[in-house]
Amino acid sequence: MGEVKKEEKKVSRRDYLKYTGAAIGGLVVGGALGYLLKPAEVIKETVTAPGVERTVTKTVEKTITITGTITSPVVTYTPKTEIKGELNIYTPAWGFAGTDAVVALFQKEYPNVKINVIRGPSTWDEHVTRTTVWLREKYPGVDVLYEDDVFSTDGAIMGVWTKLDDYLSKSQIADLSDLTHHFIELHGGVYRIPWGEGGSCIYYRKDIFEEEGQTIPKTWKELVEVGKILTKNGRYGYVTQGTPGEMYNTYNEFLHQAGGDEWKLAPGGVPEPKAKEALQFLVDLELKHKIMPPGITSVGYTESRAMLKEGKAAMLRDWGDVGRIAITEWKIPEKIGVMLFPAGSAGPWCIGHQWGWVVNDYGKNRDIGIEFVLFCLRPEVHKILAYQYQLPALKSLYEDKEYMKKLKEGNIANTIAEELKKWWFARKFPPGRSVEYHEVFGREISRALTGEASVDEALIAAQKSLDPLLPKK
Amino acid sequence: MLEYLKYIKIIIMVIMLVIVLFPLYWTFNYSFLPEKDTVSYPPIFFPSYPEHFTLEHYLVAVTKYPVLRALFNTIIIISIASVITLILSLPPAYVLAKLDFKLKEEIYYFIMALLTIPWVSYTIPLYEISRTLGLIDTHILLIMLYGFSGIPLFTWLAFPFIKSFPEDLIDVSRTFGLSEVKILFLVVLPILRNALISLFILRFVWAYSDLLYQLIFTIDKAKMINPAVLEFPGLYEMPYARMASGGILTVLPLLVLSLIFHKYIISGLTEGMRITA
Amino acid sequence: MTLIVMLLIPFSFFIISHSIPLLYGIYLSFMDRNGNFIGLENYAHIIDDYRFWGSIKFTFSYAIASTLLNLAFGLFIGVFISSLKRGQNLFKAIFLIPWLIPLTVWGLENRIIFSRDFGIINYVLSSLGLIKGMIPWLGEPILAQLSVVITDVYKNVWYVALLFLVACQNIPRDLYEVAQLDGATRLQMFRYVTLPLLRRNILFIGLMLFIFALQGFDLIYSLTYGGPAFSTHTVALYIFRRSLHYGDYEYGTAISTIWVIILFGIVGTTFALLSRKLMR
Repeated sequence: MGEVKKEEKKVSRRDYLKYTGAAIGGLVVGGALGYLLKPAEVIKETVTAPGVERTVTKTVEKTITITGTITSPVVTYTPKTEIKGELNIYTPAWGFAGTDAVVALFQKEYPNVKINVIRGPSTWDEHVTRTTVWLREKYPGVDVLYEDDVFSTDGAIMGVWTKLDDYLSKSQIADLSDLTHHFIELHGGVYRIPWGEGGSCIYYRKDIFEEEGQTIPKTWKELVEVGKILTKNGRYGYVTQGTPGEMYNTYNEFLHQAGGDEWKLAPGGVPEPKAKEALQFLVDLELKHKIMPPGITSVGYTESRAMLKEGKAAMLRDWGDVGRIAITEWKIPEKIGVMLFPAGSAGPWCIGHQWGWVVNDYGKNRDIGIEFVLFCLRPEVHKILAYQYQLPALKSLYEDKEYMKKLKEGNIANTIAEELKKWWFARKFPPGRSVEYHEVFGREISRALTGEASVDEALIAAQKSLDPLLPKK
Repeated sequence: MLEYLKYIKIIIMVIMLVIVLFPLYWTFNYSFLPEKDTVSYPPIFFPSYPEHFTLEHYLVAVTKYPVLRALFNTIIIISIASVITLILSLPPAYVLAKLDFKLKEEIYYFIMALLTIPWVSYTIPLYEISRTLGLIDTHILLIMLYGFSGIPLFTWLAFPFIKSFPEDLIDVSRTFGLSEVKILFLVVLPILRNALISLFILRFVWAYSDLLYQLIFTIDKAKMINPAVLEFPGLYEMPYARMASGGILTVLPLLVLSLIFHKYIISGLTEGMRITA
Repeated sequence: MTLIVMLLIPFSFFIISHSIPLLYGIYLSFMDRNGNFIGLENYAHIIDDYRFWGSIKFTFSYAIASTLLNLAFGLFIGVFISSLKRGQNLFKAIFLIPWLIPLTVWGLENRIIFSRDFGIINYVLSSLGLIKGMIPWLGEPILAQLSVVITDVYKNVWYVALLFLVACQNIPRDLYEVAQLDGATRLQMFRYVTLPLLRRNILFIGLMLFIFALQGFDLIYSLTYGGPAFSTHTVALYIFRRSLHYGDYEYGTAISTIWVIILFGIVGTTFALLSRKLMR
């Protein structure tokens, strides 16, 4: 009798815990769901999107899906249930956040389209392999791709990306930024819908600079001086990315600051003085002044960014995203400052670049792909993508004072947005051979940085590999 | 003096144990540390609860990355492929070991020479052909590739096992009128069961660990574990902890497998390493 | 006939799935990007391709170095363990563990361990006061090549040791007893009893190690991806890079054909001849 009683007691205590646990769990889940599924306002009105005028039912809601980004009222239209099908979107890792946010919105308006996001690699090299292979074989299994200047150019010239000119209104095209127009000219039409545009710059550790009583270097000479003072105790004054995939950018910036030309490194086998000045400067940073960590040719984004974050580097050359992640992921915005490159003899030039959507003309679902990229050109959607990128590629958005303020608050690099835009240049890719062109620099210039070849030899070898790729006069 | 020798031996043994197990332990350690602790100096040696312990990396690995799917794909594909490899390698090994015919030695050396052809050389033409057939990123393609690529190697490896099988049993079976195929499958293999299992595991581990075919021939649907785990290194920081958790997840099936079949592996290796003066 | 069923048919699976594509690859190497026949033009470019010759040099040095080190240390450790009275089974279990770890995971793990600022090796070395600054193991060309070899040996030596361990256990005890009666020292027993008996095994394991090392792809891909400025590129990685990375399939098959000729021709025939000598 006693035993039965004991068992009963044990069971009931366990049950008690079970029910309490379930109740708490239910409360938590219910609360979360309630927060996420807050009802939205429904308004009926006439909306004029650029080029299109129609009466729609407007639903205004707050978007909460994006981590660490802006929330703002987003306008969506009545769902286009008549459009059925699939859509295959490819993005490398650095496009996941933007893609997910926009796909969620698109899915609401096109509920009968099954969207498959092909998640790509997290390194540039692997992304290159993936895209190169798909470009070459006109792979039908992908419809929309997130590509940069290099691949947009090649794909456009090869006729693999769809020409989008006919789908855009004149006002839409006029609204695109100058940098976008530069690429439209280069590609021979609108082949890419940009997410935004950005420029490279230098991030620095405000706390380290303050500690050492240093100010921002404004010239090459000052960079070396400040760098030398800051390089001590296992910390380096300056770090950049030296892997073959990035060498092109790293060198190109110095080249332009010296007033050189990408296509003229050693014309006729004679090193061009400005090209030589730029390469010598870069090589000296590594081998003579030693303000860059040894083995810079193996330092990629992950390592260089980790170095800035951990204070093992005082200055980092990088793109716009660092300005954003310093706030959202590293959570040390007060320690990170941003500056233009120190000026060479020709000025503090930096690289202006764009990534965006291209539509695969051979994709199975190309037409839905076109709908998708046009959807992303809507100002309110573009705002989301531009926030993920750096600056908007639509001129009209620069008038939106509140939005521009949000961009400056959300990304440290945007605090010098005007200067960046003044001093950025677009890289000169030979259309159709951009990938190989990009790789030449990695292959040949690296040799000077490891001491394997002299500056002259590297330049001559680079020019020799470049000549067959450059367009004939 | 000789007593010191014993202690020195024990010390060496302990040192060796530490050295061998250290990388695995280190990865295990990192997989439980919060990300910021992985770049701290001095390094943290033990994930102590609650400050230095977190399960989030495993959660992230399983939810945000297609690791589970890749593991599932890999285990299924490699298992089937390994069975196919063995079925196709044992008959040639038997023929070369137990039968006599013209050109036997030449064929044997030809098979050995085939082994030296680098795997990379097969990949590009195979890629073109598979693409034309529309087989890229399908399970069946990888099963075929892993199933057939191991035939020369495993014929060569199975050879010594069959060669050392007693002739008399075979002769007796022949007098009973059994065909060679039946002899192989009904007489020889059941007795060589241990060797079979160890060969199977050998093939499984080798194919599981291979990167080349997995990287080139899978993208998404048939994604396999090695390319999946290589996508862990991120862009913004070296997510050492996340990489570590991915690594542990990858190794887990193999560890489990070897734990279960440990006996067979060792006996297979022992057989294979027979001395002949 | 039995031969056809048991030998030709299984092998035809391999021939059709691998050897014929290989021949197709050679055919491709005579084409250019658009499918036109250009004869030996791709091969002419190979002569200038110093990256290719560099990768051949590295692949062979890496293969030779790691094979020799694996053999030497593996033999030593295996014999040492086999001479112990207890604990052999423990080691048999432990030694399997590094072998199980796929090379990709091993490469990633070692990227952490060899990291200049955050790795455990530099930490240990600097705490012991052996080095002043942090060594860029994966940053300098020569150090990176060294790290690759170290990483390879660190993983494989235990498996090799295990193989030698079980091999030693197959040696009948009486031989050692007889030698001891004759007054042989430990070292002499090793030299005159163990080594000769293990000769075939050493060759077998060595050749396997060498051939696998020459294929080197997985480890390099995950550890250095060709390393600082192409210094740790193996031929396999270079072929992969030229073909799939640059989209130049034809040039890739040309280099790979050259590599096949080198390996199959030189290594293959030496292999076959040596084994023939041992079979007698």
